[in-house]
Amino acid sequence: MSLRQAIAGRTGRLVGSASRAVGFGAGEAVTGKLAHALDPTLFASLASRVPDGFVVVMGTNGKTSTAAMLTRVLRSAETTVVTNATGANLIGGVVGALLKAPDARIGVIEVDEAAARSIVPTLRPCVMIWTNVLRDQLDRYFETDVVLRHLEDAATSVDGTLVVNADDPGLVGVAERSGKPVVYYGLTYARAETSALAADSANCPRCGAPLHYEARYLGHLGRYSCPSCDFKRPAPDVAVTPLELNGARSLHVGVATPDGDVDVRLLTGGLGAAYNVGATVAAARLVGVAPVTAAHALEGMTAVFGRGESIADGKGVLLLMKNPAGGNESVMQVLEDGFDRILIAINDRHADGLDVSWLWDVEFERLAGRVHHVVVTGDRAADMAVRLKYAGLPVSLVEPDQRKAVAAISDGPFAFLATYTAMLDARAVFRGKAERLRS
Amino acid sequence: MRIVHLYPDLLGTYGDRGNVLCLAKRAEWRGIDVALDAIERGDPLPPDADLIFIGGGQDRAQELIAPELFEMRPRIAQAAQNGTVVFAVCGGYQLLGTHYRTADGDVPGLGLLDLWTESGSERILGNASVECAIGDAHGVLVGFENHAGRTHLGPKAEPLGKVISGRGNNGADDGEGAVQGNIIGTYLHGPVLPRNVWFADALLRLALAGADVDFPALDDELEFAAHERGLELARRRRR
Repeated sequence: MSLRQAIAGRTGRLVGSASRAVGFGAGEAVTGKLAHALDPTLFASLASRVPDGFVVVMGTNGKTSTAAMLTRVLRSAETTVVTNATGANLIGGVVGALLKAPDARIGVIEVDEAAARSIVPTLRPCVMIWTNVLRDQLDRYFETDVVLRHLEDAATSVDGTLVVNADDPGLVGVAERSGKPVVYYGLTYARAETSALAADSANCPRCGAPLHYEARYLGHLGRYSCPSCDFKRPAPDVAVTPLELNGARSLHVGVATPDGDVDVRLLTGGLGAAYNVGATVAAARLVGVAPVTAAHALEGMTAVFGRGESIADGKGVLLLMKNPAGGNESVMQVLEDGFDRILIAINDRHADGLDVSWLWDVEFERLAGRVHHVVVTGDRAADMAVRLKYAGLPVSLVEPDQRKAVAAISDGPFAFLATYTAMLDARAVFRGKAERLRS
Repeated sequence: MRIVHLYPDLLGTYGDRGNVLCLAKRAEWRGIDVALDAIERGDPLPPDADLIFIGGGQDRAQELIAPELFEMRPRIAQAAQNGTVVFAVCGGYQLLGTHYRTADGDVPGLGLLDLWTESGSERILGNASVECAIGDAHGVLVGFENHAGRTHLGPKAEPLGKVISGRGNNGADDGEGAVQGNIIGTYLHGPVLPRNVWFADALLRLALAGADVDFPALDDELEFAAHERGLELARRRRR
């Protein structure tokens, strides 16, 4: 490491700890952003010191949870891992994480699709996981087709294997074109209730005909085939069967792999988590960790960072809702858990996306007659209230102050659906730090 | 009344269906019977629509649906002439124009609105507000614009409104959207009607023109609050 690189790293770290001290939260991204600005060669130098290379996780939903699962698995196999655990997935977050873990053997790095070009060519990943491309923050990415193009571009920097969700036809189309070796994972599950809304990529990536779905699990993820050409869902190498879905609280899956079948029980829920298990087991195999070891490491894993976390002394469950597919999944979890009370917090800050139009693609109609006490909060509480009114749900209270909103709902068990920054605020409220975050 | 939503699966990227939900509910709350038809690929256009809504899709989705839309064109034009209101947002609005100019040449539109579109160098993106009048109602529309097009109106179309905040049709002439007879388009995408219920009601009254129905006011406290929030967001955006 050159002197300039050392100074850049040190200065970045100092500012990062200052940022943490004054309550701006995780200082890693601040550290990394500054260090990278001071010396742009630092990133490549740090990356070259990770001997076993990088697993990169991309896709619109499930990046943070999948990276956390894989990190847990690798650490259980006695490997030192560098990871950007808090979802800081732009260049600053990646450089910050590398600075903090100079002795890591392997990296598990989630990368924002729009930032991939500045990160992935330097990491030259040995494994790249694609979770899904669901509609996410469209005012930033514009269109899911654009996100697919970012992935196609990122694949050219892979020195190894793609791990791809077989249930996402858009991803499969791009993976086929990439010419890279591909390992597929997917669900084997006949779910009765699914939402046909948020069907953002339901056309054949080869010929454009509307795909025929035998089963639809989450948004456009499912078991599909094209009626006019021979494109169809590839048979997954790693197939996950949900055996027991207990809303947001727990999940029991069976995982079939070429090395045998394993069982995993998680203390977090949802079909999203089932997919993440599949991605993790498939990627772990590629870096030499057997499915049985991976399953053992995942057993009993709880939610990460607001994804199904238990809040308010166990009375509430926090469900991240950042796009229509995630929203519909949260709606299903509310139904499965039988919640009668929900709190919804919608913000429109940069990290959430400035446009809240997507609220109309979430089928809140399903909750009508099932949920009787609804409180809405956040920067766009008013828009959320209108959405619920037209879905036939009673809105008991529109309360912009999140602390008061929580007080108004927490007499009994409740589900808390929140956008990304609203989720960060909520975690702060429950840790009594709301004032500091807001100031 | 019959409300027809054209191709919600392909043309419905940004919660566009909020518009038909809003129209249907507000008619029902006034005791009007509503049939809401979602027309997908291969379905015929019902002959007795009072209002046709067209949303926006991704580029590829719009290419996929173009052949069918062209086939349907004479029936949409005939319906509009007979008093059916046609309301389109964002990509659907562009499709109603005469053509879209690309580097490889002109892609024809339906030609139901006298306007054409070319690509701009940067995307127009953000909260916007527009002053406009429709039928005997006038007010401010709030919404979100997100498109790379620059749309230019010909002599037969008039702008739907005047930009207060935002960029509008092309960022140059203050015009936003277009009106030509019963055919109305706007770049304000997604659920623009639930945020502007005065405009939703104006469209309903136009669509029901001639029908003998009561049209009482509704309790719109929540909708007004969302509209106010939209005004504030648009004010905060730099032009």
